[in-house]
Amino acid sequence: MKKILLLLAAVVAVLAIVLNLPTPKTADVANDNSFVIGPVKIFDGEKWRAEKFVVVHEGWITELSMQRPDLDLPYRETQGQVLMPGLIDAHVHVWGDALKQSLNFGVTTVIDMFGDPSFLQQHKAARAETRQAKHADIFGAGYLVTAPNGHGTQYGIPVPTLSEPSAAPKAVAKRLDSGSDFIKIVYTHAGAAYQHAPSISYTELEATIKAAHQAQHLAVVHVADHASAMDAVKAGADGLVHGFFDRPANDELVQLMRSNGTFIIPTMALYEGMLRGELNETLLTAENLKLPASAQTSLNQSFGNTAFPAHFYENLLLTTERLYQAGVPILAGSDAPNPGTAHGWSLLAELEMLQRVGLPLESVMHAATAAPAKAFALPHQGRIAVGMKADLLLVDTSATTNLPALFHPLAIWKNGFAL
Amino acid sequence: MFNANLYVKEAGYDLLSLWRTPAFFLPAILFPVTFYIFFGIVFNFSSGSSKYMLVSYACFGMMGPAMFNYATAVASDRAHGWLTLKRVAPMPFNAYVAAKYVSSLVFALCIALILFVTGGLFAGVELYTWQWLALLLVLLIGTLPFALIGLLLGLCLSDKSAPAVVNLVYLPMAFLSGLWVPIQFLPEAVQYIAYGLPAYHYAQLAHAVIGTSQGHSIWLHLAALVGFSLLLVLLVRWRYQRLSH
Ligand SMILES: [Zn+2]
Repeated sequence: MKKILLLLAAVVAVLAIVLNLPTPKTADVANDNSFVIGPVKIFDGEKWRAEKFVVVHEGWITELSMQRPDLDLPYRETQGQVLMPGLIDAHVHVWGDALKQSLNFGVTTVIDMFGDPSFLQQHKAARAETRQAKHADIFGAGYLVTAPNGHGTQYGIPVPTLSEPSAAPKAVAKRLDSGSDFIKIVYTHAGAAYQHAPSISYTELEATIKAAHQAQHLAVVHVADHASAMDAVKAGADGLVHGFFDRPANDELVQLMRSNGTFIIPTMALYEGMLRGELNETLLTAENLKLPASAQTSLNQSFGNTAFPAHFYENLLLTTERLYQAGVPILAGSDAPNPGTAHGWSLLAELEMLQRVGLPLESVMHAATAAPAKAFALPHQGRIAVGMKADLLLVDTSATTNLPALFHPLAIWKNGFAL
Repeated sequence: MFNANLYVKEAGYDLLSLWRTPAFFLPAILFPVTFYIFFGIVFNFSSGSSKYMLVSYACFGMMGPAMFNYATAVASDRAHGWLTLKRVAPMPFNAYVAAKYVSSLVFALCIALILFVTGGLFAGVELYTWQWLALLLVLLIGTLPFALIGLLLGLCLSDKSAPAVVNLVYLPMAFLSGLWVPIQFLPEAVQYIAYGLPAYHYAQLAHAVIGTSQGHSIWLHLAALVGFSLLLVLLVRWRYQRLSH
């Protein structure tokens, strides 16, 4: 009897020691931005990689490897699904909770093409940090450069305007001072036949682009027709932030863009809303998705009932197709929250449009990841590589052949934190 | 035939005699603990792997005494004629062997707990409770083949040569199985040698508990350990038969 008690006491003592040994805090593990994930099929923003494992340390990608590295980090075991960079929407206008809305769709970085400079300033620090965040990173143009009463002045934000070429360097310097990451210019060709707001002149356009380049910054141009696009490219624009549909891009424009390395953000999903208006409903039904109420509001708005000739839609696709075939960088951008678009969702709709144009899936994914990262020289975004932020999407294996997988990400990481 | 009381008594005596020989138990405890503190905590070159090192040194610390306890005790008992005495006494050889195994396990348990507490308190090792428990079980049960190696050596060697020979088996085997330096840092040829060593399979099973094994199937390691044990049992029986004639 005494022996049994002694034995019991020994067992209890052993258990007491073992049960009191330190255990990981479960909450910390779930919310930790250091981990090893794999095996996964990695699309790094450019191409498929041979590596199968990714190491994330404090929100930064620190290693890609073939074998699971022997590290004392939480291990997220996967079954060979696709790991790709978080998406970049290369054309948005951000206010309110747009950055949060975007992230919910896997858009981890947005490029703002005209917005409140103080909003941009507030969010700049977060781009180089990996603190837990529920919103996408933002890069932006701040105030755009436009003519008095030109496009961009109608939204009730007091925008400084440009009325002579000699004022261009000062206008550019002022925007860069207020935090603009690049210069965005609104331009319409003087002879444009359609109704449009007043525009800066070609010489003013040229002077502004030159001033931006002298200050070592990009200059991108808002155009909405072929003639204006031609002017902008000739004036030395680094990129066009819209496509156009009045006619398909001609050989001269395609060749010029190719030799200048000018990129284009075709914003076809936006134009589809003006020209046809079927895309959103078709996609939402096909993907069985329900958007949050906030997204529905802008999605249900329309530009009005202007009737466009049916072939404009073909022109739109043809322009993108020709530019893509020529090797002009194509960047995916939604122009949300314009009528018929919504943050996050419309980038996915734009990817669908790129696929309709005939881009292979890798090029479609590239257009929303490494392509904008490269075009705008984003330091830590849009690629899976050492030194990049762990802004990641885990999507179904079918993403190797199938766009719809991107509509239903299995997991989203922002700064290494799972959403 | 089976007399439980006899087994318990014998184990008790055995522990008592262990306790009375600090020259044996102190180094056996201090060796792995000091090693772990030195290479796992103080001079931790592979940063962040204090967990990995804990498992390696626990394997190292537990397989040693299992071998020593048997080899030295059996060899010296033989030298002093005790073993002959016990063979003629009504106590079966099995009870003698089992008692020694129980006392080795109690001893190993103490080493494991000391290492666990050291790792937990000073090296920041954090494991889920099931991992701590599973690790302890794997470490304890896995000492069987090493105890059998010790027993076999004890039955073959003189009491003078036993400790030296055990060290000659123990230390190289520990090194080649990746218990001092993680096996992936050793030359590739070592990997093939390791496959043939029970310590490698023992360590891999223990590492599997915390997810740091090399990724081979745990059944493979289990099969290897069971195979080694069966082979050793046969050898021990053969040697014991030889000694009794
Ligand atoms: Zn816009």
